[in-house]
Amino acid sequence: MMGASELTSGPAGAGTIPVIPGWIREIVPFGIWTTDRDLRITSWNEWLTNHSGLQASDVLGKPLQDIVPMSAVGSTRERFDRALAGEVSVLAAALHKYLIPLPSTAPESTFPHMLQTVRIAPLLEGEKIVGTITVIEDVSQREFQAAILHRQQEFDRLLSSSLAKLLQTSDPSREMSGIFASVRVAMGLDCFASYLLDFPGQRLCLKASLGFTPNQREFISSFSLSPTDYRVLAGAGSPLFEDVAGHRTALATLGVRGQYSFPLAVGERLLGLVIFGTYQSQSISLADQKILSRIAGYVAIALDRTRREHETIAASRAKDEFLAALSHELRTPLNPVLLLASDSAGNPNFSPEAREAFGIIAKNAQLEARLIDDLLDLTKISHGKMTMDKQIIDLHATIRDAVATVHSELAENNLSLEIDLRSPLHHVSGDPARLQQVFWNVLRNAIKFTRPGGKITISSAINPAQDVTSISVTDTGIGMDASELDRIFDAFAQGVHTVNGRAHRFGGLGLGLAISRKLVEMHSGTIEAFSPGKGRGSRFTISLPLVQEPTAPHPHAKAGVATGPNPEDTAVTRILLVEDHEPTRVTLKRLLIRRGYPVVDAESVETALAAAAESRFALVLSDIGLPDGDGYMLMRKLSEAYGLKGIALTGYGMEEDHAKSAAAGFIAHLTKPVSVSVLERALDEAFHRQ
Amino acid sequence: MELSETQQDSLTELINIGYGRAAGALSELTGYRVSLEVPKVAIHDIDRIGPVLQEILGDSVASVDQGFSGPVSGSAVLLLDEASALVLGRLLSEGASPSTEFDANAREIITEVGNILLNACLGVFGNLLRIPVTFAVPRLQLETVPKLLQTITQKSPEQLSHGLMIHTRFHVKTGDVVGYLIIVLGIASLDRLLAELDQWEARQMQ
Repeated sequence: MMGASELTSGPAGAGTIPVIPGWIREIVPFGIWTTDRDLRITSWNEWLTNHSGLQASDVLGKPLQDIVPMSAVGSTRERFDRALAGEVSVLAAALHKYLIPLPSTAPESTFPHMLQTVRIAPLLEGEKIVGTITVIEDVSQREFQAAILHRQQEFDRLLSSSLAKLLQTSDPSREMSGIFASVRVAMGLDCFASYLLDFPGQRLCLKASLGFTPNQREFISSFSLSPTDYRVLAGAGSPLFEDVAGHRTALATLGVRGQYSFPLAVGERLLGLVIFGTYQSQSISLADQKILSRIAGYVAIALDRTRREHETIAASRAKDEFLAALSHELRTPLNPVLLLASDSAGNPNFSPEAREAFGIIAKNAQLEARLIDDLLDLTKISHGKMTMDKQIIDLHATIRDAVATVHSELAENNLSLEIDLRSPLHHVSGDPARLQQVFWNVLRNAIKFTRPGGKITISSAINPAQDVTSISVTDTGIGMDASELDRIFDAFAQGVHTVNGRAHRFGGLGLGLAISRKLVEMHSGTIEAFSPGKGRGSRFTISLPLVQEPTAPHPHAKAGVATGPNPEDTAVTRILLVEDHEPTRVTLKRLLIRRGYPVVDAESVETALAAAAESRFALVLSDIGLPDGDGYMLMRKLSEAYGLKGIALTGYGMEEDHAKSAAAGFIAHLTKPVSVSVLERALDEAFHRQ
Repeated sequence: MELSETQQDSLTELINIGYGRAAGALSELTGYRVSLEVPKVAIHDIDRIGPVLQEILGDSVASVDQGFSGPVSGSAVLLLDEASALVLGRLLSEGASPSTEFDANAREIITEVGNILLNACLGVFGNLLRIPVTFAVPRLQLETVPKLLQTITQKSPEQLSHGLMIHTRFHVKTGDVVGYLIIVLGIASLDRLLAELDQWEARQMQ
């Protein structure tokens, strides 16, 4: 209302006809016309004349309908009526475009008419409404610029959000469908179809699409590329272009008239193709096509990156699996060797020389076995397949157990050992076997690098906060310099030390400490190495969090002397031995027989079940990995049918599932290679318990 | 009655085209990007549609509904909550009179927007499937959902016992405008639509 009265107020005390002062009308850069209450035109300014070509004399007195197409946009007449009732309306260019068709003033714009913002208001004389006044503002330039700016901003955002999504996703082929869908809307297109190249077949296969019914998708589901190399030059005349042109006909028959295809390529390597289309006859600008092309490029890069990642992971996994399989194969022949050798080393029927020879064989086979075990441990850990049997254990007892295993080595190397365990609290949550392995590794390391006559000390202490205990293994050996300290826990890094001026490699695979660190970390602890320098010894410190000592002491399973069973009670002690690896089976059988157990052996589930049907057994001793099934299944059947109990044997490197074996009916679970004493203890428990 | 998976798929794809065009039109109007969610297609008891809508949308709405009739008949509705309607109104009125209430100008704008969007949407029937539909005048209402639904079902030429409801949510990328596009069809119309779809495919893939 304010605008109208300003325009209508002339100099004070002006004439009775409420016209806009002529000089204002003619200088303002707007179109202004007025009407009377009957909507006949009463004034028409210069601007309007200039833009419409109509002189004021042509239009004065004529009805409004002659100038304004009243059928346009429905409610135009209504607005003038409302103005007569006292309301102001604004027709924004965005929605209404224009009120009267005038030539465009923005030549770059594709819109043929001038874009106008129109205000229609009552014309006042004092308080009385005497007609209407219409003001037309040319916003063509402004709208055109704004549209360009908006489009640019929005496409920038589209590009960057697409890029962000593609960078973050681990499945770009799924992400691309969402990206293409929003691009389609932004570009005013109806549909898209994206294809990925399937490498062996050299066909482009439909991966994602929108705007095609299932039958239509079937129709355009794939097309082949000419059997040339997939050099991506999507321009006319290139092999790719020809193939795509062929496919475009298929799309055209579905009614897709406007088509824009972009290769998904990295460099010259083709990964796929995306085709955007519309069912209407629409075209998109070159600038927009460039944007689509860029997005296609981003998608291609993301696809390529994921493919290479998968390849790398697959290769790494293949390598790990190979390593595990290889270790397993290397390990298996050692089992009977170890059993026989250790058994024979203690066989009183053999001469002392023979027993000594067997002892050496056993020891070296054991050494070999340990190397392979280390390798297997490392692959297990790196696969996250190392299982821990955590209990509350007395760390000092574990240390002593570890010390016991290296006793003979200490003696051989003429090394003295001092044990000074004075940590007042020494219970931790841990897997006893694994922690023993850690101490054993560290001790062996100390032994290896300390010259005869030297000394090794094991001590334990508690930290001031009383929540962590630290075990230190100190030696008076050859020590380490800074670079060696740096690498000491790296897998496969071996010490090259000079002894007597010559480089001397200390053998082994260099895995022991690497494994130890991983094991300690899996117990939420730390292991550190320290050395004052070459020739001045080393210290390894293992720290572990303490736990509450259990009130009732945890009984360590103490083996009694293994006695053989009464030879008369054959049925009472007959063992069903199930093992598919012949040398192991033969050796175990001999072992068991020598200890007075009658044995029937079988090499598969089927033969085992047959044997069980024929004779009565007291115990089953079974391998888990069998050619025609697994030991768990066998044990369950035998337990159900005959109430048999069993001992499971798992090969080193396989996952030890104690829960699973207990559920199947095994009362004990041994890991190969089984040492004689361990086996004897298990049999003892099985027969003499309860 | 239930839709088979293929039928659901086909309808979804068809509507994708329609909603895509509507979103494109809105984008051009406002100058901002419009994002669309995947359309949901389902058959509901006519009494269930109201509650379903209410769940989706809440209570007070500004709606523009456009009835259509012909071989296929039903209603297409643009739904906005009041806040979104105001923002949209502001975006499209060039700051002429930044209103904080839903005045006559704002109402006109929303009706106009509704007209444009719904026509773009329903255009797929006409120019894609070649089904001759005629459109009624779009109507703006500021009502709660149940009342809206009542008016839709009452004025439909078909006796609606079940309705096919297709809906999607869209965002205008300034973030403040969220709306829904809904199409409601009676069962007889649905059957006809599916038949026309089949024919359309058959015509093309000869």
